[in-house]
Amino acid sequence: MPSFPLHFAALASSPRHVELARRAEPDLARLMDHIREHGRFASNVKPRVLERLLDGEPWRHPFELAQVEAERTGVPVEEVLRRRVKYFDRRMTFERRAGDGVRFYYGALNIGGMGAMRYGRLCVVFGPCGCSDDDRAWLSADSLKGAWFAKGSDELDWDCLLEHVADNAHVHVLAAAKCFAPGESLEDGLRRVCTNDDYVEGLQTRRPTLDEAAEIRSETDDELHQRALRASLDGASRDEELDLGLHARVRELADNRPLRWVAVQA
Amino acid sequence: MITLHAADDGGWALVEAEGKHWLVRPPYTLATRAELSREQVLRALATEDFAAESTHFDGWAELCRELARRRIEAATPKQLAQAAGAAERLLARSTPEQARASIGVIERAISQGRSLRAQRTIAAILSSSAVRADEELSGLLLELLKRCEPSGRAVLAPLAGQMLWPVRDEKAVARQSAAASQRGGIVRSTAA
Repeated sequence: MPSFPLHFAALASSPRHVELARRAEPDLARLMDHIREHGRFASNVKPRVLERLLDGEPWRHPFELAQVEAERTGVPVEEVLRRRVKYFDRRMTFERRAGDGVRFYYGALNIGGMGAMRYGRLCVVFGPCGCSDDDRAWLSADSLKGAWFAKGSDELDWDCLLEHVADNAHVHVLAAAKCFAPGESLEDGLRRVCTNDDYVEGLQTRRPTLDEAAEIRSETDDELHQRALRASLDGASRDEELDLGLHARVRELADNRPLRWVAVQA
Repeated sequence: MITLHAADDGGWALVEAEGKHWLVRPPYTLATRAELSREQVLRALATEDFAAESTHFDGWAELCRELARRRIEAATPKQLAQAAGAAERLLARSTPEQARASIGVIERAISQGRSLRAQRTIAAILSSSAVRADEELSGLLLELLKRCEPSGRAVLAPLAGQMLWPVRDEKAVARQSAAASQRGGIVRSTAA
């Protein structure tokens, strides 16, 4: 039985991918080329999370987050997990089967733009995808929402999952297989690669660090400028001052790292 | 009835109201409230740093007040220190486009008599190197700074008798005023 972490190169040669890659569709080839060139592992985060990362705290997977919550609230970690357990069923099932006891750090394939902003309006973008990286795999959708989980069921269809997985070197094929539709423009296909609700999910067993990140994309800059302007001219509530303080500190911490800060209009 | 399902220590929260699910975040306006599907809420609870709870509120105002209260209560001395002057520190990162878009708002503030605040705001924006590199824009902002003078003059009036030399370079004065205001300098401390 295949288990994760494993060498996804073998999985990437699943019939679906090979068949797709062999199709002589010029538009498909353009889509794959674009994704191969611009695809990045990225993670959308909230400002407080980015502040912690910039402060040198480690990236945490969901189970570590439960541990942190337990420490913060004084509630035993078992109780924190129990409170969340009905939401954790699929995650537990997925990681038990696919991870074989190993926890994953999650991200999404980003080919430009802000990524899945409901996770945060700051997007940490890592290096190119096209390199060999046995620690990283890609799924054609959110691991908790993909076709490998039948609607309303927490049972994982492993064979189905294997049809939708690729290694780092073949993520462009996986993404193109998902997003390509004959007769559509390249832009339409690219737009579907990463939206707020649907994306190609990246999983890695190695803990990401900001040292590997190339840039931070921010959709908040114009809004923050407006808020800062209002606060400076009219004054602000204590809560608003604290939030502006958080954002200012994030920017100041980011200045101290070799990271590009890129303002993006969403 | 509004139910708070989860919150994090950054003031973000997952909320249910009238059968709909929402992600709310500071500064708790309609613009910073985003509707989520139930599935998205469950996923956020399972994978992000939200602490689950189930607290009920009569309305949005009560909810937002509580979220703000928690945040203030939990603020560390370091976070409180970060908050001081944060607006001006962010304005010091203004792009020329953002600065240009601010001019109307600042003009309105001046016309409403908030000249001291306007001075501080203009000074902060002018400390952006990108803004200063745009000569035309800098000129516009310095002109605005001059229009703040009536109140500035009133504040400085007690010092007038001590001024022995005539002003020869109005622009230099405006620049110095901007720099002083940015430092939290003489104008504000005199006013206080």
